[in-house]
Amino acid sequence: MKRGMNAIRRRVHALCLSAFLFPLGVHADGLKPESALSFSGFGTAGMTRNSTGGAEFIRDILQPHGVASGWSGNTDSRLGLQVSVRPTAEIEGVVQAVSYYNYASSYRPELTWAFVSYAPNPGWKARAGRLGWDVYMLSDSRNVGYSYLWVRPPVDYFGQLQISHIDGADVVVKHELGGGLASAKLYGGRADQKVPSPPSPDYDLAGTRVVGANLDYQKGEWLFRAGYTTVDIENELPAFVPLLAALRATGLPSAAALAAELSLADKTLEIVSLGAVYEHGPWQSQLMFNRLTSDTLAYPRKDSGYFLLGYRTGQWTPFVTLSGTRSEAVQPRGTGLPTPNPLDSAVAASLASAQSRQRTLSLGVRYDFMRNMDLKIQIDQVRVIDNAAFLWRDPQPGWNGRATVFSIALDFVF
Amino acid sequence: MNRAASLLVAGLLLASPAATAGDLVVIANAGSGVDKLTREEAVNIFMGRYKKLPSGIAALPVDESGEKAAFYKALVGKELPEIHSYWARLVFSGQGSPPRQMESAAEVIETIVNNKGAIGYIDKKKLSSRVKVVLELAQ
Repeated sequence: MKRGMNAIRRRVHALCLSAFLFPLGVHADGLKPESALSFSGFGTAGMTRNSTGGAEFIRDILQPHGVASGWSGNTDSRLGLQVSVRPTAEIEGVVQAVSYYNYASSYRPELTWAFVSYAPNPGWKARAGRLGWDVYMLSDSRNVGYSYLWVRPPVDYFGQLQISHIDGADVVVKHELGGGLASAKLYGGRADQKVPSPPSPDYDLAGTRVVGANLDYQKGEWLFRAGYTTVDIENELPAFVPLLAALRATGLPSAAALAAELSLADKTLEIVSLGAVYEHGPWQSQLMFNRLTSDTLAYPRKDSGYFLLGYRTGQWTPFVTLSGTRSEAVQPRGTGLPTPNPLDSAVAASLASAQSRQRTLSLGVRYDFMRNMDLKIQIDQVRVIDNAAFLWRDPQPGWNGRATVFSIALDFVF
Repeated sequence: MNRAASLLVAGLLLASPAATAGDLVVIANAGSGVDKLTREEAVNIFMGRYKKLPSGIAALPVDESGEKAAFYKALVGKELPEIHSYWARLVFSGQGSPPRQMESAAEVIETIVNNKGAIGYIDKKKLSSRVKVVLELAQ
Protein backbone atom coordinates (compact mmCIF):
# COMPACT_ATOMS: atom_id res chain seq x y z
CA MET A 1 0.00 0.00 0.00
CA LYS A 2 2.84 2.33 0.82
CA ARG A 3 3.98 1.79 -2.71
CA GLY A 4 0.43 2.51 -3.90
CA MET A 5 0.21 5.73 -1.91
CA ASN A 6 3.59 6.81 -3.20
CA ALA A 7 2.41 6.09 -6.70
CA ILE A 8 -0.69 8.23 -6.09
CA ARG A 9 1.45 11.02 -4.73
CA ARG A 10 3.79 10.86 -7.68
CA ARG A 11 0.87 10.94 -10.11
CA VAL A 12 -0.83 13.80 -8.31
CA HIS A 13 2.43 15.75 -8.39
CA ALA A 14 2.80 15.05 -12.08
CA LEU A 15 -0.77 16.12 -12.73
CA CYS A 16 -0.43 19.33 -10.70
CA LEU A 17 2.71 20.05 -12.65
CA SER A 18 0.95 19.51 -15.95
CA ALA A 19 -1.90 21.77 -14.83
CA PHE A 20 0.77 24.37 -14.19
CA LEU A 21 2.36 23.90 -17.56
CA PHE A 22 -0.92 24.22 -19.43
CA PRO A 23 -2.65 27.26 -17.96
CA LEU A 24 -6.40 27.38 -18.27
CA GLY A 25 -8.11 28.67 -21.34
CA VAL A 26 -5.25 28.59 -23.78
CA HIS A 27 -6.48 25.75 -25.94
CA ALA A 28 -7.73 26.19 -29.43
CA ASP A 29 -11.48 25.95 -28.95
CA GLY A 30 -11.51 28.80 -26.45
CA LEU A 31 -13.94 27.04 -24.10
CA LYS A 32 -12.44 26.97 -20.67
CA PRO A 33 -12.47 23.60 -19.00
CA GLU A 34 -15.37 23.26 -16.57
CA SER A 35 -12.78 22.97 -13.88
CA ALA A 36 -9.14 22.08 -14.22
CA LEU A 37 -9.30 19.84 -11.18
CA SER A 38 -12.38 17.86 -10.25
CA PHE A 39 -13.20 15.46 -7.45
CA SER A 40 -15.87 12.84 -7.72
CA GLY A 41 -16.73 9.54 -6.18
CA PHE A 42 -19.03 6.57 -5.97
CA GLY A 43 -20.01 4.04 -3.41
CA THR A 44 -22.28 1.25 -2.31
CA ALA A 45 -23.53 0.41 1.15
CA GLY A 46 -24.76 -3.13 0.85
CA MET A 47 -26.02 -5.91 3.06
CA THR A 48 -26.04 -9.47 1.79
CA ARG A 49 -27.76 -12.46 3.30
CA ASN A 50 -26.93 -16.03 2.34
CA SER A 51 -29.58 -18.62 3.25
CA THR A 52 -27.23 -21.55 3.41
CA GLY A 53 -24.49 -22.45 5.82
CA GLY A 54 -23.12 -24.85 3.22
CA ALA A 55 -20.69 -22.35 1.71
CA GLU A 56 -19.70 -18.71 1.94
CA PHE A 57 -21.06 -16.50 -0.82
CA ILE A 58 -18.54 -14.12 -2.42
CA ARG A 59 -18.97 -11.35 -4.98
CA ASP A 60 -15.77 -12.27 -6.80
CA ILE A 61 -12.74 -14.44 -6.28
CA LEU A 62 -10.78 -11.47 -4.93
CA GLN A 63 -12.67 -11.85 -1.64
CA PRO A 64 -11.01 -14.16 0.91
CA HIS A 65 -14.15 -14.78 2.95
CA GLY A 66 -17.82 -14.63 2.20
CA VAL A 67 -21.12 -14.82 3.99
CA ALA A 68 -22.80 -18.04 5.13
CA SER A 69 -26.17 -18.37 6.89
CA GLY A 70 -26.41 -14.75 7.91
CA TRP A 71 -25.82 -11.17 6.89
CA SER A 72 -22.67 -9.38 5.82
CA GLY A 73 -21.86 -5.84 4.78
CA ASN A 74 -18.54 -6.89 3.28
CA THR A 75 -19.74 -8.46 0.05
CA ASP A 76 -20.87 -5.38 -1.83
CA SER A 77 -19.92 -2.29 0.17
CA ARG A 78 -17.28 -0.07 -1.39
CA LEU A 79 -16.21 3.52 -1.73
CA GLY A 80 -14.30 5.06 -4.60
CA LEU A 81 -12.77 8.49 -4.97
CA GLN A 82 -11.57 10.01 -8.20
CA VAL A 83 -9.54 13.08 -9.02
CA SER A 84 -9.28 14.23 -12.58
CA VAL A 85 -7.30 17.02 -14.12
CA ARG A 86 -7.95 18.40 -17.57
CA PRO A 87 -5.26 20.93 -18.34
CA THR A 88 -6.24 21.12 -22.02
CA ALA A 89 -9.07 19.75 -24.13
CA GLU A 90 -6.77 16.98 -25.36
CA ILE A 91 -5.10 15.88 -22.14
CA GLU A 92 -6.65 14.40 -19.04
CA GLY A 93 -5.23 12.80 -15.93
CA VAL A 94 -7.32 10.54 -13.72
CA VAL A 95 -6.53 8.91 -10.39
CA GLN A 96 -9.02 6.63 -8.67
CA ALA A 97 -8.77 4.64 -5.46
CA VAL A 98 -11.36 2.21 -4.17
CA SER A 99 -11.82 0.80 -0.71
CA TYR A 100 -13.51 -2.60 -0.57
CA TYR A 101 -13.21 -5.86 1.30
CA ASN A 102 -10.04 -7.11 -0.33
CA TYR A 103 -7.81 -10.18 -0.53
CA ALA A 104 -6.26 -9.36 2.85
CA SER A 105 -9.68 -9.02 4.58
CA SER A 106 -9.15 -5.29 4.89
CA TYR A 107 -10.62 -2.13 3.41
CA ARG A 108 -7.23 -0.64 2.62
CA PRO A 109 -7.81 1.51 -0.49
CA GLU A 110 -6.45 0.19 -3.74
CA LEU A 111 -5.23 2.33 -6.60
CA THR A 112 -7.61 1.23 -9.36
CA TRP A 113 -6.94 3.85 -12.04
CA ALA A 114 -4.06 6.29 -12.54
CA PHE A 115 -3.51 7.38 -16.10
CA VAL A 116 -2.88 10.24 -18.43
CA SER A 117 -4.87 10.30 -21.64
CA TYR A 118 -4.27 12.14 -24.86
CA ALA A 119 -6.99 12.63 -27.47
CA PRO A 120 -5.64 14.66 -30.39
CA ASN A 121 -9.03 14.48 -32.12
CA PRO A 122 -12.46 12.94 -31.44
CA GLY A 123 -11.51 9.75 -33.28
CA TRP A 124 -8.35 8.90 -31.30
CA LYS A 125 -7.55 8.45 -27.67
CA ALA A 126 -4.54 6.94 -25.98
CA ARG A 127 -4.13 6.29 -22.28
CA ALA A 128 -1.10 5.21 -20.28
CA GLY A 129 -0.77 4.26 -16.65
CA ARG A 130 -2.97 2.08 -14.48
CA LEU A 131 -6.15 1.13 -16.33
CA GLY A 132 -9.20 -0.95 -15.53
CA TRP A 133 -9.12 -4.28 -17.34
CA ASP A 134 -11.59 -3.95 -20.21
CA VAL A 135 -11.59 -7.67 -21.01
CA TYR A 136 -15.30 -7.63 -21.73
CA MET A 137 -18.14 -5.15 -21.60
CA LEU A 138 -18.59 -3.53 -18.19
CA SER A 139 -15.61 -5.35 -16.67
CA ASP A 140 -13.75 -2.08 -16.05
CA SER A 141 -16.61 -0.50 -14.07
CA ARG A 142 -17.63 -3.37 -11.80
CA ASN A 143 -17.16 -1.26 -8.67
CA VAL A 144 -19.60 1.44 -9.73
CA GLY A 145 -22.93 0.16 -8.44
CA TYR A 146 -24.78 3.27 -9.55
CA SER A 147 -23.90 2.47 -13.17
CA TYR A 148 -25.86 -0.80 -13.41
CA LEU A 149 -29.16 -2.38 -12.38
CA TRP A 150 -27.86 -5.22 -10.21
CA VAL A 151 -26.60 -5.07 -6.66
CA ARG A 152 -23.45 -6.63 -8.13
CA PRO A 153 -22.49 -7.76 -11.63
CA PRO A 154 -23.42 -11.43 -12.21
CA VAL A 155 -21.01 -13.54 -10.18
CA ASP A 156 -21.02 -16.42 -12.67
CA TYR A 157 -19.65 -14.05 -15.28
CA PHE A 158 -17.69 -11.26 -13.60
CA GLY A 159 -16.89 -13.01 -10.32
CA GLN A 160 -14.21 -15.17 -11.96
CA LEU A 161 -12.06 -12.24 -13.01
CA GLN A 162 -8.77 -12.25 -11.16
CA ILE A 163 -7.45 -9.10 -12.73
CA SER A 164 -9.22 -5.79 -12.21
CA HIS A 165 -6.55 -3.45 -13.53
CA ILE A 166 -3.36 -3.45 -15.55
CA ASP A 167 -0.35 -1.16 -15.67
CA GLY A 168 0.08 -0.39 -19.34
CA ALA A 169 -1.55 1.50 -22.15
CA ASP A 170 -4.48 1.45 -24.53
CA VAL A 171 -5.49 3.13 -27.75
CA VAL A 172 -9.04 3.62 -29.01
CA VAL A 173 -9.86 4.55 -32.59
CA LYS A 174 -13.43 5.48 -33.57
CA HIS A 175 -14.90 5.81 -37.00
CA GLU A 176 -18.37 6.32 -38.42
CA LEU A 177 -19.42 3.30 -40.39
CA GLY A 178 -22.69 2.39 -42.08
CA GLY A 179 -24.70 4.97 -40.16
CA GLY A 180 -23.30 3.73 -36.87
CA LEU A 181 -20.09 4.07 -34.93
CA ALA A 182 -17.28 1.55 -35.01
CA SER A 183 -14.46 1.56 -32.53
CA ALA A 184 -11.40 -0.55 -31.99
CA LYS A 185 -9.37 -0.74 -28.84
CA LEU A 186 -5.94 -2.25 -28.32
CA TYR A 187 -4.48 -2.63 -24.88
CA GLY A 188 -1.62 -4.22 -23.07
CA GLY A 189 -0.04 -4.19 -19.67
CA ARG A 190 0.95 -6.05 -16.56
CA ALA A 191 -1.19 -7.15 -13.67
CA ASP A 192 -0.24 -6.20 -10.14
CA GLN A 193 -2.64 -7.80 -7.69
CA LYS A 194 -2.99 -10.56 -5.17
CA VAL A 195 -5.75 -13.12 -5.24
CA PRO A 196 -6.68 -15.11 -2.13
CA SER A 197 -6.50 -18.85 -2.54
CA PRO A 198 -7.38 -20.19 0.90
CA PRO A 199 -6.08 -22.19 2.62
CA SER A 200 -2.89 -21.64 0.58
CA PRO A 201 -0.99 -18.35 0.53
CA ASP A 202 -2.33 -15.56 -1.73
CA TYR A 203 -1.64 -15.90 -5.41
CA ASP A 204 0.52 -13.07 -6.72
CA LEU A 205 -0.40 -11.89 -10.21
CA ALA A 206 2.59 -9.56 -10.43
CA GLY A 207 4.34 -9.90 -13.77
CA THR A 208 1.39 -11.49 -15.55
CA ARG A 209 1.09 -9.88 -18.99
CA VAL A 210 -2.17 -9.02 -20.67
CA VAL A 211 -2.70 -8.07 -24.31
CA GLY A 212 -6.08 -7.66 -25.92
CA ALA A 213 -8.32 -6.01 -28.46
CA ASN A 214 -12.00 -5.09 -28.58
CA LEU A 215 -14.16 -4.19 -31.54
CA ASP A 216 -17.37 -2.30 -30.85
CA TYR A 217 -20.16 -1.35 -33.16
CA GLN A 218 -22.92 0.93 -32.01
CA LYS A 219 -25.96 1.80 -34.03
CA GLY A 220 -29.25 3.15 -32.81
CA GLU A 221 -30.34 1.12 -29.82
CA TRP A 222 -27.76 -1.62 -30.38
CA LEU A 223 -24.22 -2.06 -29.19
CA PHE A 224 -22.15 -5.08 -30.16
CA ARG A 225 -18.72 -6.07 -28.97
CA ALA A 226 -16.23 -8.78 -29.81
CA GLY A 227 -13.11 -9.08 -27.71
CA TYR A 228 -9.97 -11.18 -27.62
CA THR A 229 -7.41 -11.23 -24.82
CA THR A 230 -4.37 -13.26 -23.94
CA VAL A 231 -3.05 -13.54 -20.42
CA ASP A 232 0.54 -14.72 -20.02
CA ILE A 233 0.81 -16.03 -16.50
CA GLU A 234 3.99 -15.38 -14.58
CA ASN A 235 3.72 -17.15 -11.23
CA GLU A 236 2.87 -20.62 -10.05
CA LEU A 237 -0.23 -21.14 -7.95
CA PRO A 238 1.08 -21.70 -4.37
CA ALA A 239 -1.40 -24.54 -3.87
CA PHE A 240 0.24 -26.41 -6.77
CA VAL A 241 3.86 -25.98 -5.74
CA PRO A 242 4.21 -29.01 -3.41
CA LEU A 243 2.37 -31.29 -5.84
CA LEU A 244 4.42 -30.18 -8.85
CA ALA A 245 7.64 -30.66 -6.88
CA ALA A 246 6.56 -34.13 -5.77
CA LEU A 247 5.64 -35.12 -9.34
CA ARG A 248 9.01 -33.97 -10.65
CA ALA A 249 10.82 -35.68 -7.78
CA THR A 250 9.49 -39.07 -8.83
CA GLY A 251 11.96 -39.05 -11.71
CA LEU A 252 9.25 -40.57 -13.91
CA PRO A 253 9.01 -38.84 -17.31
CA SER A 254 5.22 -39.34 -17.31
CA ALA A 255 4.89 -37.65 -13.91
CA ALA A 256 7.19 -34.80 -14.95
CA ALA A 257 5.17 -34.34 -18.14
CA LEU A 258 1.99 -34.19 -16.09
CA ALA A 259 3.57 -31.55 -13.82
CA ALA A 260 4.41 -29.49 -16.90
CA GLU A 261 0.83 -29.70 -18.14
CA LEU A 262 -0.68 -28.89 -14.77
CA SER A 263 1.53 -25.96 -13.85
CA LEU A 264 0.26 -22.41 -14.24
CA ALA A 265 3.53 -20.48 -14.49
CA ASP A 266 4.41 -19.39 -18.03
CA LYS A 267 1.09 -20.59 -19.41
CA THR A 268 -1.30 -18.59 -21.56
CA LEU A 269 -5.02 -18.05 -21.17
CA GLU A 270 -7.11 -16.87 -24.08
CA ILE A 271 -10.47 -15.20 -23.61
CA VAL A 272 -12.86 -14.60 -26.46
CA SER A 273 -15.94 -12.57 -25.65
CA LEU A 274 -19.08 -11.50 -27.45
CA GLY A 275 -21.64 -9.07 -26.18
CA ALA A 276 -24.79 -7.33 -27.31
CA VAL A 277 -26.66 -4.56 -25.56
CA TYR A 278 -30.09 -3.37 -26.63
CA GLU A 279 -31.73 -0.35 -25.05
CA HIS A 280 -35.04 0.95 -26.24
CA GLY A 281 -37.06 3.39 -24.19
CA PRO A 282 -37.79 1.72 -20.85
CA TRP A 283 -36.29 -1.61 -21.98
CA GLN A 284 -32.72 -2.62 -21.53
CA SER A 285 -31.13 -5.94 -22.17
CA GLN A 286 -27.67 -7.43 -22.34
CA LEU A 287 -26.49 -10.74 -23.66
CA MET A 288 -22.86 -11.64 -23.00
CA PHE A 289 -20.78 -14.69 -23.63
CA ASN A 290 -17.14 -15.54 -23.16
CA ARG A 291 -14.98 -18.59 -23.67
CA LEU A 292 -11.73 -19.12 -21.83
CA THR A 293 -9.17 -21.58 -23.13
CA SER A 294 -5.63 -22.28 -22.02
CA ASP A 295 -2.61 -24.52 -22.36
CA THR A 296 -2.69 -25.58 -18.71
CA LEU A 297 -4.77 -28.33 -17.15
CA ALA A 298 -5.37 -25.87 -14.30
CA TYR A 299 -7.73 -23.92 -16.56
CA PRO A 300 -9.96 -26.23 -18.58
CA ARG A 301 -12.02 -24.63 -21.31
CA LYS A 302 -14.81 -22.64 -19.76
CA ASP A 303 -17.90 -20.97 -21.19
CA SER A 304 -19.75 -18.28 -19.27
CA GLY A 305 -22.63 -16.05 -20.12
CA TYR A 306 -25.57 -14.05 -18.91
CA PHE A 307 -28.75 -12.45 -20.08
CA LEU A 308 -30.23 -9.35 -18.49
CA LEU A 309 -33.65 -7.90 -19.11
CA GLY A 310 -34.82 -4.77 -17.32
CA TYR A 311 -37.88 -2.58 -17.71
CA ARG A 312 -38.16 0.87 -16.21
CA THR A 313 -41.47 2.12 -14.96
CA GLY A 314 -41.18 5.55 -13.38
CA GLN A 315 -38.48 5.44 -10.71
CA TRP A 316 -38.54 1.64 -10.51
CA THR A 317 -36.63 -0.74 -12.74
CA PRO A 318 -37.32 -4.40 -12.10
CA PHE A 319 -34.94 -6.79 -13.78
CA VAL A 320 -34.21 -10.45 -14.27
CA THR A 321 -30.85 -12.05 -15.02
CA LEU A 322 -29.90 -15.58 -15.94
CA SER A 323 -26.22 -16.38 -15.72
CA GLY A 324 -24.08 -19.44 -15.83
CA THR A 325 -20.60 -20.81 -16.15
CA ARG A 326 -19.53 -24.26 -17.17
CA SER A 327 -16.08 -25.72 -17.61
CA GLU A 328 -15.24 -28.67 -19.76
CA ALA A 329 -14.88 -31.93 -17.87
CA VAL A 330 -11.20 -32.72 -17.44
CA GLN A 331 -10.17 -36.25 -18.35
CA PRO A 332 -8.58 -38.14 -15.46
CA ARG A 333 -4.80 -38.14 -15.73
CA GLY A 334 -2.42 -40.66 -14.24
CA THR A 335 1.11 -40.07 -13.04
CA GLY A 336 2.30 -43.44 -14.30
CA LEU A 337 3.11 -44.53 -10.75
CA PRO A 338 1.73 -47.85 -9.53
CA THR A 339 -1.79 -47.19 -8.24
CA PRO A 340 -3.17 -46.45 -5.76
CA ASN A 341 -0.75 -43.75 -4.66
CA PRO A 342 -1.20 -40.35 -2.98
CA LEU A 343 0.13 -38.38 -5.95
CA ASP A 344 -2.56 -39.67 -8.29
CA SER A 345 -5.23 -38.66 -5.77
CA ALA A 346 -3.63 -35.23 -5.38
CA VAL A 347 -3.60 -34.75 -9.18
CA ALA A 348 -7.23 -35.82 -9.39
CA ALA A 349 -8.12 -33.32 -6.64
CA SER A 350 -6.25 -30.53 -8.43
CA LEU A 351 -7.97 -31.27 -11.71
CA ALA A 352 -11.33 -31.32 -9.96
CA SER A 353 -10.61 -27.97 -8.31
CA ALA A 354 -10.02 -26.40 -11.71
CA GLN A 355 -13.53 -27.18 -12.89
CA SER A 356 -16.64 -25.32 -11.99
CA ARG A 357 -20.22 -25.22 -13.04
CA GLN A 358 -23.06 -23.19 -11.69
CA ARG A 359 -26.00 -21.08 -12.71
CA THR A 360 -27.95 -18.29 -11.14
CA LEU A 361 -31.36 -16.76 -11.55
CA SER A 362 -31.50 -13.23 -10.21
CA LEU A 363 -34.55 -11.07 -9.68
CA GLY A 364 -34.34 -7.54 -8.44
CA VAL A 365 -35.44 -3.96 -8.61
CA ARG A 366 -33.58 -0.67 -8.75
CA TYR A 367 -35.34 2.33 -7.25
CA ASP A 368 -34.01 5.73 -8.32
CA PHE A 369 -35.45 7.62 -5.38
CA MET A 370 -33.31 10.73 -5.66
CA ARG A 371 -30.66 12.34 -7.83
CA ASN A 372 -27.40 10.39 -7.89
CA MET A 373 -28.69 7.73 -5.51
CA ASP A 374 -30.49 4.45 -5.88
CA LEU A 375 -31.73 1.68 -3.70
CA LYS A 376 -31.70 -1.94 -4.86
CA ILE A 377 -33.09 -5.23 -3.71
CA GLN A 378 -32.06 -8.49 -5.32
CA ILE A 379 -32.65 -12.18 -4.81
CA ASP A 380 -30.28 -14.73 -6.35
CA GLN A 381 -31.18 -18.35 -6.64
CA VAL A 382 -27.87 -20.15 -7.13
CA ARG A 383 -27.36 -23.75 -8.10
CA VAL A 384 -23.83 -25.11 -7.97
CA ILE A 385 -23.49 -28.24 -10.06
CA ASP A 386 -19.76 -28.79 -9.86
CA ASN A 387 -16.97 -27.65 -7.56
CA ALA A 388 -18.31 -24.95 -5.27
CA ALA A 389 -14.75 -24.19 -4.17
CA PHE A 390 -14.19 -22.06 -7.25
CA LEU A 391 -16.80 -19.33 -6.78
CA TRP A 392 -17.56 -19.86 -3.10
CA ARG A 393 -15.45 -20.00 0.04
CA ASP A 394 -15.21 -22.89 2.45
CA PRO A 395 -17.87 -25.20 0.98
CA GLN A 396 -18.93 -27.85 3.47
CA PRO A 397 -18.91 -31.51 2.49
CA GLY A 398 -22.44 -32.59 1.79
CA TRP A 399 -23.72 -29.15 0.79
CA ASN A 400 -26.37 -29.65 -1.88
CA GLY A 401 -25.10 -26.67 -3.88
CA ARG A 402 -28.26 -24.61 -3.52
CA ALA A 403 -28.40 -21.17 -2.03
CA THR A 404 -30.67 -18.18 -1.96
CA VAL A 405 -28.87 -14.89 -1.61
CA PHE A 406 -30.81 -11.78 -0.64
CA SER A 407 -29.19 -8.37 -1.04
CA ILE A 408 -30.06 -4.78 -0.40
CA ALA A 409 -27.83 -1.92 -1.50
CA LEU A 410 -27.71 1.84 -1.56
CA ASP A 411 -25.59 3.24 -4.38
CA PHE A 412 -24.47 6.80 -4.78
CA VAL A 413 -22.23 8.99 -6.90
CA PHE A 414 -21.02 12.47 -6.17
CA MET B 1 -24.85 33.61 -47.73
CA ASN B 2 -25.14 30.47 -45.72
CA ARG B 3 -24.96 32.42 -42.54
CA ALA B 4 -27.46 34.99 -43.75
CA ALA B 5 -29.84 32.21 -44.73
CA SER B 6 -29.55 30.52 -41.39
CA LEU B 7 -30.10 33.81 -39.59
CA LEU B 8 -33.21 34.32 -41.67
CA VAL B 9 -34.44 30.82 -40.89
CA ALA B 10 -33.68 31.28 -37.22
CA GLY B 11 -35.49 34.62 -37.26
CA LEU B 12 -38.50 33.06 -38.91
CA LEU B 13 -38.52 30.21 -36.44
CA LEU B 14 -38.34 32.66 -33.59
CA ALA B 15 -41.27 34.64 -34.93
CA SER B 16 -43.29 31.63 -35.99
CA PRO B 17 -46.49 31.19 -34.02
CA ALA B 18 -46.44 27.53 -35.03
CA ALA B 19 -43.61 26.78 -32.61
CA THR B 20 -45.36 24.43 -30.22
CA ALA B 21 -44.75 24.73 -26.52
CA GLY B 22 -41.87 22.63 -25.28
CA ASP B 23 -40.35 21.74 -28.65
CA LEU B 24 -36.59 21.61 -28.43
CA VAL B 25 -34.03 22.67 -30.96
CA VAL B 26 -30.42 21.57 -31.10
CA ILE B 27 -28.30 24.61 -31.87
CA ALA B 28 -24.78 25.19 -33.09
CA ASN B 29 -22.40 28.04 -33.77
CA ALA B 30 -23.12 29.88 -37.00
CA GLY B 31 -19.55 29.22 -38.11
CA SER B 32 -19.50 25.55 -37.17
CA GLY B 33 -19.86 24.49 -40.78
CA VAL B 34 -22.84 22.33 -39.81
CA ASP B 35 -26.29 22.90 -41.26
CA LYS B 36 -27.97 19.72 -40.17
CA LEU B 37 -27.34 17.00 -37.66
CA THR B 38 -28.93 13.57 -37.83
CA ARG B 39 -30.45 12.16 -34.68
CA GLU B 40 -27.73 9.49 -34.59
CA GLU B 41 -25.01 12.17 -34.76
CA ALA B 42 -26.69 14.09 -31.95
CA VAL B 43 -26.84 10.90 -29.86
CA ASN B 44 -23.14 10.25 -30.49
CA ILE B 45 -22.22 13.77 -29.42
CA PHE B 46 -24.44 14.17 -26.34
CA MET B 47 -23.86 10.64 -25.09
CA GLY B 48 -20.10 11.17 -25.44
CA ARG B 49 -19.63 8.34 -27.94
CA TYR B 50 -18.10 10.41 -30.69
CA LYS B 51 -17.73 14.11 -30.07
CA LYS B 52 -17.19 15.30 -33.59
CA LEU B 53 -19.32 17.62 -35.73
CA PRO B 54 -20.00 16.52 -39.33
CA SER B 55 -17.80 19.43 -40.44
CA GLY B 56 -14.87 17.74 -38.74
CA ILE B 57 -14.33 19.96 -35.71
CA ALA B 58 -14.47 18.68 -32.16
CA ALA B 59 -17.93 18.96 -30.63
CA LEU B 60 -18.38 20.52 -27.19
CA PRO B 61 -21.85 19.51 -26.01
CA VAL B 62 -23.56 21.49 -23.28
CA ASP B 63 -26.66 20.62 -21.24
CA GLU B 64 -29.31 23.05 -20.11
CA SER B 65 -30.62 22.11 -16.67
CA GLY B 66 -34.22 23.19 -17.29
CA GLU B 67 -34.62 21.20 -20.51
CA LYS B 68 -32.29 18.30 -19.75
CA ALA B 69 -34.95 15.76 -18.79
CA ALA B 70 -37.11 16.58 -21.81
CA PHE B 71 -34.12 16.56 -24.15
CA TYR B 72 -32.82 13.10 -23.25
CA LYS B 73 -36.33 11.73 -23.18
CA ALA B 74 -36.82 13.01 -26.73
CA LEU B 75 -33.36 12.03 -27.98
CA VAL B 76 -32.82 8.56 -26.52
CA GLY B 77 -36.04 7.80 -24.64
CA LYS B 78 -34.28 7.77 -21.28
CA GLU B 79 -34.99 9.33 -17.92
CA LEU B 80 -32.38 11.42 -16.12
CA PRO B 81 -31.39 8.72 -13.59
CA GLU B 82 -30.53 6.49 -16.57
CA ILE B 83 -28.48 9.25 -18.16
CA HIS B 84 -26.64 9.86 -14.88
CA SER B 85 -26.11 6.14 -14.42
CA TYR B 86 -24.72 5.91 -17.97
CA TRP B 87 -22.28 8.73 -17.30
CA ALA B 88 -21.21 7.23 -13.99
CA ARG B 89 -19.90 4.24 -15.91
CA LEU B 90 -18.00 6.37 -18.40
CA VAL B 91 -16.61 8.85 -15.87
CA PHE B 92 -15.39 6.17 -13.46
CA SER B 93 -13.85 4.08 -16.22
CA GLY B 94 -11.87 7.01 -17.58
CA GLN B 95 -13.87 7.42 -20.76
CA GLY B 96 -14.58 11.12 -20.55
CA SER B 97 -16.94 13.55 -18.95
CA PRO B 98 -20.57 14.52 -19.52
CA PRO B 99 -21.65 17.71 -21.32
CA ARG B 100 -20.99 20.96 -19.51
CA GLN B 101 -23.95 21.91 -17.32
CA MET B 102 -25.58 25.28 -18.03
CA GLU B 103 -28.34 26.95 -16.09
CA SER B 104 -30.29 28.82 -18.78
CA ALA B 105 -30.99 29.08 -22.48
CA ALA B 106 -29.17 32.44 -22.47
CA GLU B 107 -26.05 30.78 -21.07
CA VAL B 108 -26.25 28.01 -23.68
CA ILE B 109 -26.61 30.55 -26.50
CA GLU B 110 -23.74 32.65 -25.15
CA THR B 111 -21.47 29.59 -24.96
CA ILE B 112 -22.38 28.55 -28.49
CA VAL B 113 -21.85 32.02 -29.90
CA ASN B 114 -18.37 32.07 -28.36
CA ASN B 115 -17.26 28.55 -29.28
CA LYS B 116 -17.18 27.16 -32.78
CA GLY B 117 -17.62 23.53 -31.73
CA ALA B 118 -20.17 24.09 -28.96
CA ILE B 119 -23.54 22.45 -29.38
CA GLY B 120 -26.57 22.62 -27.13
CA TYR B 121 -30.33 22.56 -26.98
CA ILE B 122 -32.94 25.06 -25.89
CA ASP B 123 -36.67 25.57 -25.96
CA LYS B 124 -37.55 26.59 -29.49
CA LYS B 125 -39.27 29.70 -28.16
CA LYS B 126 -36.01 30.98 -26.70
CA LEU B 127 -34.11 30.72 -29.97
CA SER B 128 -31.71 33.50 -30.89
CA SER B 129 -30.67 34.57 -34.37
CA ARG B 130 -27.05 34.37 -33.22
CA VAL B 131 -27.08 30.58 -33.36
CA LYS B 132 -28.11 28.02 -35.92
CA VAL B 133 -30.70 25.25 -35.57
CA VAL B 134 -29.27 21.90 -36.69
CA LEU B 135 -31.91 19.50 -35.40
CA GLU B 136 -35.47 19.80 -34.15
CA LEU B 137 -36.85 17.42 -31.58
CA ALA B 138 -40.59 17.19 -31.17
CA GLN B 139 -41.69 15.95 -27.80
